[in-house]
Amino acid sequence: MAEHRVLGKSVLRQDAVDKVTGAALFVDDIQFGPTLLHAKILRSPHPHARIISIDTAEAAKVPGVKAIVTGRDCRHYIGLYLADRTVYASDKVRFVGEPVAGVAADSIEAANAAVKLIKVAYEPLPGVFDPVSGARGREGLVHETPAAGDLWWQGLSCIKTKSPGALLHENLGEYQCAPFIHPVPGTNISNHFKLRKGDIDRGFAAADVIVENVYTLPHIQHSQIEPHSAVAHVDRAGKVTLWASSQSPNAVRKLIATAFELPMNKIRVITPYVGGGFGGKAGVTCEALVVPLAMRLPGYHVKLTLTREEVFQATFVRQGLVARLKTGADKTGRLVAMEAELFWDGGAYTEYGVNITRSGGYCSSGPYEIPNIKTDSYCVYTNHPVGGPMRGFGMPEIHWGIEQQMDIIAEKLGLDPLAFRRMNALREGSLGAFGGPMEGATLADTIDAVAAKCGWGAPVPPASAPHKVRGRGMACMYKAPSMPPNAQSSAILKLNEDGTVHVLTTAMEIGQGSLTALAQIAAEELGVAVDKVVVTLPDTDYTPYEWQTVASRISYSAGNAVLAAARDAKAQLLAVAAQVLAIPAAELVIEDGQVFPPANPARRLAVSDIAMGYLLPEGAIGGPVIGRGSFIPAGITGLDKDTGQGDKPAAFWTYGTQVADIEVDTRTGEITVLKVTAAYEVGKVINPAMCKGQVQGGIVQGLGSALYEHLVLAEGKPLNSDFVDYKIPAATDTPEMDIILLETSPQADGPFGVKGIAEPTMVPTAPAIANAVYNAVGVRITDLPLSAEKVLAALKKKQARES
Amino acid sequence: MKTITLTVNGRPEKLTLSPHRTLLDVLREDLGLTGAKRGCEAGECGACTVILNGRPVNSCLVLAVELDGADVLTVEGLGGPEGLDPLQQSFVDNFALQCGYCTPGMILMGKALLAKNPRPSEDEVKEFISGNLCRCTGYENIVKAIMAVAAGGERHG
Amino acid sequence: MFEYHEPRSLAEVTSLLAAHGEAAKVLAGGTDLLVQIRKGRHQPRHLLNIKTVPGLDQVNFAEDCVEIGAAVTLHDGEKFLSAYPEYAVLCRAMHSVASCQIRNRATLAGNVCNASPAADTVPALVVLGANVKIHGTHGDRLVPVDRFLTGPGRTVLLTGEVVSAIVLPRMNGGGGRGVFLRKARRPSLDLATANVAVYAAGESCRIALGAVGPTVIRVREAERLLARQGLTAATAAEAARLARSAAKPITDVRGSDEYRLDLVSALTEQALLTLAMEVRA
Ligand SMILES: Cc1cc2nc3c(=O)[nH]c(=O)nc-3n(C[C@@H](O)[C@@H](O)[C@H](O)COP(=O)(O)OP(=O)(O)OC[C@H]3O[C@@H](n4cnc5c(N)ncnc54)[C@H](O)[C@@H]3O)c2cc1C
Ligand code: FES
Ligand code: FES
Repeated sequence: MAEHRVLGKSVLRQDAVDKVTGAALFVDDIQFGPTLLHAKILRSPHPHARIISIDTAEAAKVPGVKAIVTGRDCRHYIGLYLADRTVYASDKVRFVGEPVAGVAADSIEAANAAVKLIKVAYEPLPGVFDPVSGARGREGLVHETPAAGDLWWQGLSCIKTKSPGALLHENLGEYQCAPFIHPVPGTNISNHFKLRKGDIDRGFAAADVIVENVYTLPHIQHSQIEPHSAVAHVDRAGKVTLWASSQSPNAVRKLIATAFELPMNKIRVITPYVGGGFGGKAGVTCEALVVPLAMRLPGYHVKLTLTREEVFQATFVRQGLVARLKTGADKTGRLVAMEAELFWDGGAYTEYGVNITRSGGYCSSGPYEIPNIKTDSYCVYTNHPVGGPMRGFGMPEIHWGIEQQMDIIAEKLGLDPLAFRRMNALREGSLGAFGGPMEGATLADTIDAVAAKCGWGAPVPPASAPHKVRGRGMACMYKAPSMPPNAQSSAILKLNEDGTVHVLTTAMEIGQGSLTALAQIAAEELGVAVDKVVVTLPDTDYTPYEWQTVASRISYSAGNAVLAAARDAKAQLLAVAAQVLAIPAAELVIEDGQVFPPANPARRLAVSDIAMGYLLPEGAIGGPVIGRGSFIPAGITGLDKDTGQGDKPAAFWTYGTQVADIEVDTRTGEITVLKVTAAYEVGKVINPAMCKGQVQGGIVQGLGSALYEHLVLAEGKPLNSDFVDYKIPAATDTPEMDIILLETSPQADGPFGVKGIAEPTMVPTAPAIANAVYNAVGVRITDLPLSAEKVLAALKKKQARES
Repeated sequence: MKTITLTVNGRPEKLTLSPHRTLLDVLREDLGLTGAKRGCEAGECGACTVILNGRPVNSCLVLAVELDGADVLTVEGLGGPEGLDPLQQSFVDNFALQCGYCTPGMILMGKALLAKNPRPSEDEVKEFISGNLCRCTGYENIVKAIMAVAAGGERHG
Repeated sequence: MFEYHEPRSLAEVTSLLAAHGEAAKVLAGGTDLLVQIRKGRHQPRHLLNIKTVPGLDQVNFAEDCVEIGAAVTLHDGEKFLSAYPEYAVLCRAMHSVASCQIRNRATLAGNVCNASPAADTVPALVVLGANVKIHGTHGDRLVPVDRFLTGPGRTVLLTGEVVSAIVLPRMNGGGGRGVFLRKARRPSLDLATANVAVYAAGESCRIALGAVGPTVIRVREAERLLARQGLTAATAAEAARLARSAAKPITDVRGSDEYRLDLVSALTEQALLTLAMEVRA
């Protein structure tokens, strides 16, 4: 393969100096001067209630209050995959924290005072507080599977509703939705994804070992350190400008255009730096709330920065999951059958969550070849916070169970869990759960790399104290970018007079390093130094379309658009240079900002000489160089509605393996994660330091979800919506990390072979730790998180059993 | 309303304030110094960290009216026309940031630590910055960046 | 919205407190109070910054006691006392509070006055036999820390009274040794799910538990056992059992009552064994 000049190098981040000096501006940092107004939102105290009346008269009298809006003012339904919500609650509220009214005032104090004076009469309704009860709803809804008859969910701590019956969305059947989403009108099931591969009964009949367990995950929250913030301005001509801490400027524009019936060329979305996304700033969260206020207040800037409590209650959370998994293997260790029933706790609105359910469904085999599969994946409305995308998009959730099943079966068969996984790993050409052939299936490579690095099989060293026990566990993963089959990217590359370059995209820098990675791709292709390339932050009036910065797809998809734009610009430069130098373009190269024929490097032109065209004696040629690039992934097919079978549901698959070394304190149940060894196969590494940074951050996020994170909900009310009681990892939690990046299978249609890495990083950590706990102390915990309390309770139970 | 004078990043400032406003409010809204960030307003995240009279504090938990005569250093006060402070440079070189929201607070903590303990152990660094949450980096590179300056024997004022 | 005061003497503090009653609040480091105000749990109309009272930021070593002024921060308290091994139990407790930034503002007196059941310094102060020095319109009074606290958020302070110092007995030379242990969900910056302080001087041994009752709990039965039979592995285990039965924890998001009981016995036993080693050393 050709030697790269900037690709594959740990080029320093483009945004680093901004960020270490305090120069980097986030939405809340932008100063708007005297036109700034502050918004506050009145939120529902009820998990489920009918709104009888709203009286804003007293609130409007508070000095400083400029405008108040309610659900009456915005009746359009919006949503990314399923249009099931309005900007403010219209006739019902469906979760605690749902926006009911908004106030704009000249101070936060006045806005707060006014919010308190808005009188809302509610008629409380019975609620749905777990997905299994919600799916059962009125008797007989989800009784297709035989296992549903044996009430396997009874006794699970997360099953809350004693008398199911509430229906959250009476009009589910009328909501618009994407063609690959299948709501079940008249129920709380907003998407039922069905997968049928092979013959499940024959499969289990051939199994010598069958393992069936239920795995559960609570809601967790992204906890970006920057709270969501949005500022809306409507000028006197009606043009809307929105500054938003968003991962999805174009999606925001589209949903707001729908909600307020505006043409897209009258909405401008500007996204400065974003202080962490992880999916929680994708789609639309709080941005739309300020728009109707600003529309009533032309000339003002209306700002809403959420409090930490609001971030927890009223932005996306990761959906909860109840997963019943039944897995069978024959005595040689081959997986022969798997049955999965997945109940996703989608929360009050599932406009985005429905697609997580789909991904979880078509990936439900995990990264293994299983000939017979039956999966039912249900996205269920509950009166819980709104589920949305979070790093991994269903994969951390399903792998939590799958990867423990693998250890359990291996143990039953007396096989090494690593060898067992390796034997069943998806390989080139294996048929995936969706029935199509897998390309670039490199799980075994990552298993081998991790095994060699961590010394798998070597004796575990002794613990640090007599009451502590060490253990080691592993988990594997795979993930594809979950996006519509036609998720697009585009880029414009402009040359400046001095040969420097601007790349315009609407890809969002959310910390993952997209500015730098895209600059590296442009510089590599164009043949200019990387420090000559500046990638700009999105401004939808000027930067070209990007579907969303999610799904670990930016390096791949926006990368392809940037690569195409650079090729386009390069062709224009070479055409001019060919004419000036009288050498055919095919014989010219561009390196370090110089155009020359390798055969005669002395005959050269600087890119800056031709960036604006060239003046020959006979007249000018060329013109300002502008490269244009568009990308849409080719060949992604749909899946059959009844069988979930198809050829290629996703653009590519990233594989990875992690091994966790831990210590358990048998007196307190506390787990200390000592070390995580991780290997990922990413096709091509653009920037090793940044790529490793993704893995480090993902492991620690995975560690948080494994040990601590749980948004505790009591009848829909969050009990720990702050960092006092919702703990994310601190520096003292960071384990030693040993990270291997492999490039064994470059992605055919990825720029320079690139696949995605950001999300896969957190997927295996929690199950690897759970398997390590079992390895250490012999208790298996199937309900996240692995809190010290839960571990100790399990240890005590085990002791009681044994004595 | 109360009038106070204080020094911020070496510059004298005179401010007339209502008593409920925090140092964080005043830095961000009155002085345009937005390097200190709002993350939780409850002392839990450290994004608002500034150095007050030589010691790091959560500026969200300090009333500005208390600060008559005080000396405040924010991230904007580091480095200078000659370039970045060595610790800022080390954060750049070690990829010790991703989204950058925690970065000003982390850098100020690093400065404070190195000022009193020029050669901290890795565990001491982790302990010292454990009141500063970072959701992106997993902390490893932040610890590395601080250790690199310590090891480099740079002087810290 | 509140009015802000900078009193220059304790007398001024008490007269302001007496004048405004419930509407006035003492502001020390503000690390509890400002959060509580923001959450709407307190709505004081007057805030009295006691850091402006001269002398309150001092630690005074007298013949028979050490007076830690009400404005002394946890950071400074730790620094002042770190040279005295007999106070190591308190230093450990002070150091385990929150984060470096918080300890630079939070005061020792504030940690006591806030009367949180989980306050880390309280068990340590109790085993040291510390007193709270209270200044009121009628002069000063000394109250032992465990009697000062009457329930969550409640103390014996009367209207018009302010705490001027925390007073530790001076243990000249013959001072004992103590150990403080805690468990929280996360190893740093987290409120204790349970904490334990133990202290031994000569034959006597004290044990105090935090976060497992409405206020700090002395485990006197275990103390008597240790005084009678000495500190051994066996008595440590028995003392841990007694501590467990003395605790009265609740269930909340930080942990269940059952788990807290398990922590009490684990931490008490471990603290006593560590103490035995320290005393021997
Ligand atoms: C993020 C965070 C984490 C924390 N973690 C811990 C922890 O791990 N362990 C722990 O123990 N604590 C913890 N705390 C609480 C701890 O910071 C406080 O209890 C602190 O010690 C209180 O001191 P202060 O000076 O800040 O008090 P303030 O907030 O100023 O006052 C607290 C209360 O005491 C009253 N008061 C203060 N001084 C006096 C006085 N002299 N006389 C009469 N009344 C007075 C005030 O009126 C107020 O009601 C944490 C706090 C935060 C914000
Ligand atoms: S904003 Fe001050 S600590 Fe979080
Ligand atoms: S870099 Fe994003 S929070 Fe630290």
